[in-house]
Amino acid sequence: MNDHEKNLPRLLAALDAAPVRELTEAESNRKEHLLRTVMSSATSVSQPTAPPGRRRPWLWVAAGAVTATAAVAVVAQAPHSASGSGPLPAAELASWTGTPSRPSATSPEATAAEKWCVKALSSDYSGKPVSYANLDVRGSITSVVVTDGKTTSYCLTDKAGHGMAEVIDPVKKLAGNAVEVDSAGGHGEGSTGLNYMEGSVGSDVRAVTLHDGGRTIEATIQNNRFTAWWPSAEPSGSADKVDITLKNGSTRTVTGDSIFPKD
Amino acid sequence: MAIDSEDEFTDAYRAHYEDVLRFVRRRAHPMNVDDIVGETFLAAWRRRHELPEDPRPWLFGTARNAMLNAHRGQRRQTAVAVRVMENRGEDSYDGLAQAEDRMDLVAAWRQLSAVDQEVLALHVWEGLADRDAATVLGCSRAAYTMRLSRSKRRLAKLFGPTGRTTPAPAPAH
Repeated sequence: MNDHEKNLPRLLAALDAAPVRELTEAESNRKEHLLRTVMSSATSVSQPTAPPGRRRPWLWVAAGAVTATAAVAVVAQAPHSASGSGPLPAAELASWTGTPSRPSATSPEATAAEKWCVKALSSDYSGKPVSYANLDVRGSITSVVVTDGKTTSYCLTDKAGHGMAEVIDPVKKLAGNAVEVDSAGGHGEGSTGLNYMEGSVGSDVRAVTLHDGGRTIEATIQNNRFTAWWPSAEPSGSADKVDITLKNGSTRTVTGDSIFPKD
Repeated sequence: MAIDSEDEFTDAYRAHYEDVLRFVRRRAHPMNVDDIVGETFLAAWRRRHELPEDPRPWLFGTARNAMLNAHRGQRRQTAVAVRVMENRGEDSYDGLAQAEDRMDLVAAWRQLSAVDQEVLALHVWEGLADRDAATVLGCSRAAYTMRLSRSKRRLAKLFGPTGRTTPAPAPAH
């Protein structure tokens, strides 16, 4: 080995993409959350369908138990777990609508979804008062963002108590016309497959419309956060195209991948 | 290192979480990092009674397998590409005096196969001994040592025949 080869490891050391540093507060929270959820997991954990592309490899638990990755919990809490490989039953997913309805804060859907989400992630909320946002209903499935001011979660649930819950990051301050995914994933397959996506939007963004597999999905926007989900036989965790409409009426279309954060 | 209690697992988790996080960050898309780390420690919890004395190679190997299996239905990968930091302030990169050198090394790294990148990364950034790196890759120690030598040679050739011999700071392990 010549000197040139001998020096390479030392030179490469300076190119480390993940050098040692202190964890941020959010990272430390995720670390502790993961520890709790891993140790509370059921013994019968298996991995569901892992769709290609950007997706989160969901972890499953037996009915009644809760588990999560650092940021994800998929929960089947109904007396009978959802059929097939997804967190929600095919019959409920079939009721999906591209344009959601937005129930009132006091509606039964709002109350039930909030309670379900808090229960699913009870270790993170510990009885603290919570508020919710981005509430919408597509068919018989409610989507909601719940926060106690410290921990924020995104949940999808049906009336029977099937659903998924995910701890998500706070809204990110973006340029006025920008849209950026915070979290997205795919789950299940066939008639139980679904994609979801949530993230931040700039203050000039009025609407985000996703297009994927022939479906048009009108995202719900509130408090500079967008949320959307849609059935997909082969979930990829992303959309084909995204229309971004600004408050001045202009619309631009970008690829689904382009709204993911850059490395 | 048979773990019999939650306290023991907690200790092991806290001792190795950040190493696993960095291992995955070097290799996975940022959107998938938390999930792969979660999957790795969930596997560790389920197999806590059979973890080796030093669980780091086992954890890295499990995380690597999670990444290799991430694209079900697509062609199965056999190696995981490893990314490098392309831009960093001058102060923290004083070992390579010229920005050109950095760019050349980054370019050379990108031309390496994912297999070569894995072999080198385990040595340089994970700081594993050959025996432990071999465990991660599922090969013999002798095979890893040979691969490491060849990977260094290939990178040196891509980096340039004249070589850059200005020393950089030693890896922090």
